[in-house]
Amino acid sequence: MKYPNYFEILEKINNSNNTNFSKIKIKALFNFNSFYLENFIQYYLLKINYRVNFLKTDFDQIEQQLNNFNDRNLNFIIVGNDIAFLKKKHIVLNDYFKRLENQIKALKVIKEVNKKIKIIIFNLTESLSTNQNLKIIKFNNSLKKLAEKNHLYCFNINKIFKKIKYKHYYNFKNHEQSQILYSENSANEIGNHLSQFIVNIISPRKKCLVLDLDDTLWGGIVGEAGYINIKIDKLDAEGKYFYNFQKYIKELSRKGIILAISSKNNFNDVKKCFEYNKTKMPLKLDDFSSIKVNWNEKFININEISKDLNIGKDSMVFFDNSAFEREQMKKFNSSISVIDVPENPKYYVQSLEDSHYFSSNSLLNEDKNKKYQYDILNKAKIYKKNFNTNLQFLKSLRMQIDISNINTKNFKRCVQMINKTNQFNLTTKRFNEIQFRNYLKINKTENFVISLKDKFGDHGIIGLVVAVIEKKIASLRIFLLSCRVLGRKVEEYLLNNLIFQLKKKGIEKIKGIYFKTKKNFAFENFYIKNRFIKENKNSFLFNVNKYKKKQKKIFLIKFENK
Amino acid sequence: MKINNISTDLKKIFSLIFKINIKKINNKIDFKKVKNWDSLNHVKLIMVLESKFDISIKPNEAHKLLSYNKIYRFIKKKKKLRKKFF
Repeated sequence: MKYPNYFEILEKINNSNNTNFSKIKIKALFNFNSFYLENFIQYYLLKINYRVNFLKTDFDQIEQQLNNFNDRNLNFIIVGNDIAFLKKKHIVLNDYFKRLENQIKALKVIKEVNKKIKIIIFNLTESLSTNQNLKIIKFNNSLKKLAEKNHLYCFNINKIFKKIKYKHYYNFKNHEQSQILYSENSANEIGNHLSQFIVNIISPRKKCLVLDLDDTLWGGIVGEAGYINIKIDKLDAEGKYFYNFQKYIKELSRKGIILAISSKNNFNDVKKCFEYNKTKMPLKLDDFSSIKVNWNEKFININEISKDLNIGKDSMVFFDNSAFEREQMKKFNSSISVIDVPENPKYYVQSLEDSHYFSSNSLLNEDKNKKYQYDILNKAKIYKKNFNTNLQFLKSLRMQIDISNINTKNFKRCVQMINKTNQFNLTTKRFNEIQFRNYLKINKTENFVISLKDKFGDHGIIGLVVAVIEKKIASLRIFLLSCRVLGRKVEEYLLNNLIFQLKKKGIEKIKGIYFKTKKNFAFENFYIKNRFIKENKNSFLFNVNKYKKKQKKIFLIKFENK
Repeated sequence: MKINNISTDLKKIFSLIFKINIKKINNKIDFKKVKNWDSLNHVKLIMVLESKFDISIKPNEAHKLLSYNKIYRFIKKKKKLRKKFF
């Protein structure tokens, strides 16, 4: 790979004046002069449309600056200690460990006061003698756990350090001169990886993990070695790595991540393999919500998985041990996130953890039930094949919509939906909890929290509508539905019923608001289809007097407290 | 690299780092005349020169490179030396 040189880096930073970039504010605290590295981080984030503003800091003053911390409106704090110079300065390694622990203590305090700030801490480079490196590895492990416990993100610098040879990694000449430390190559690599790391943290958590089977979930190829001989036993030297990986994935599934299989195999072999090894394998075939075991190309299979589960491709992560498959996926299905799978299965878990695609600070009940919810959706899909028309099918589902107000029980889920829903989100207005609470306080609103049940089970809370009331006009400022339930005509029936409810409260006109985004364009004509009259491209008006009740009844609608 | 190229690139670098109009850059320019030529930007300048012209600048050399003219001659010399060497 050819890296851009420092001149090109500065040129790009200087020339990109696009105001459409998302902005990130970072305070970077390093024990070396970091402006050089910061430029590389800026460059790589600009490449993916983020503009970074680094706050001015003094280098090698980490503790002082953390203890006197009073910056508001920051998005990130990045703390990095590099111990390369310990070789020359004769500082005791243990003292340095203590220093880092103190930094974490200070960061913990900052995090408690400013919950919104994301904090990244670098682990230590294994750049010293073998003996010292062993101590560093041990310390890095405990650092990772400590960071997780305190909701900090630990950035694994050793992945990059091991990629670039020691003599090319540092630039000691510049370190003596200006305390810059890194070479152009390593600054490029760190900048690239760190910017990806940052984006993974701020973008919404991925929803679905698509896995290969052979040499990914178990060792060996089931079609060749046979299901008896695959490596999955936790007592086996190689098998234990696959066992640990499966265990980790099972845990992800418990946290609400949807699992799917895409594997080039015979389905019978796979089925027998899961059955025969059921006592040894943490994962069961039932844990997967979509299974594509065939000889099709994986980048085609994954489209079907996306359709099956109604999950956008940008919420899917692909994990496959074959570099060829990964490259194909990147080339032909670029919106899928592809994990850079290491060759040694020992590091599978770590590679998933390092990606931070599935890390999240809070887990709601709704998330834990996700697997169940996708399963009932899938059952409905299979059931659909028995019907000639969609209407017949929808009627037979015996769907019930429950509508309630926002209350303390569902408040968090509402905020979560506001920030996660993309496809049927007509205004895509995002709020955090405090902002949303204020918004409800300041405005006079009618709000509707929507849950759905059908003959297969309970889908939980799937939608939210907030109408701001001003002089007998209700503006639908938030109107969103989970993509899981689209295609069931929920949105039309819901709108129809909401109009009825608002009419009862004396509302005369309803204003539908729509802001087009890359994801919600399919609903551009939603209001027009429902007999609203276009005022301008963002606003549609409905006169309540023209209200007619929907004739064909598909849903039973229940209002609580209304 | 032709000599003309050195001067074009050098002007671009000066303009980028010190935020001055490229037309105003001439060979008489030095650190006293350029407002933004502080220690941080000087380090940046040295890093960019090394990277762009693929040369290595020692700390004792970097201290002396405080005018356009000196830098220009310095790069020319380094490039010539390299040519001889190869």
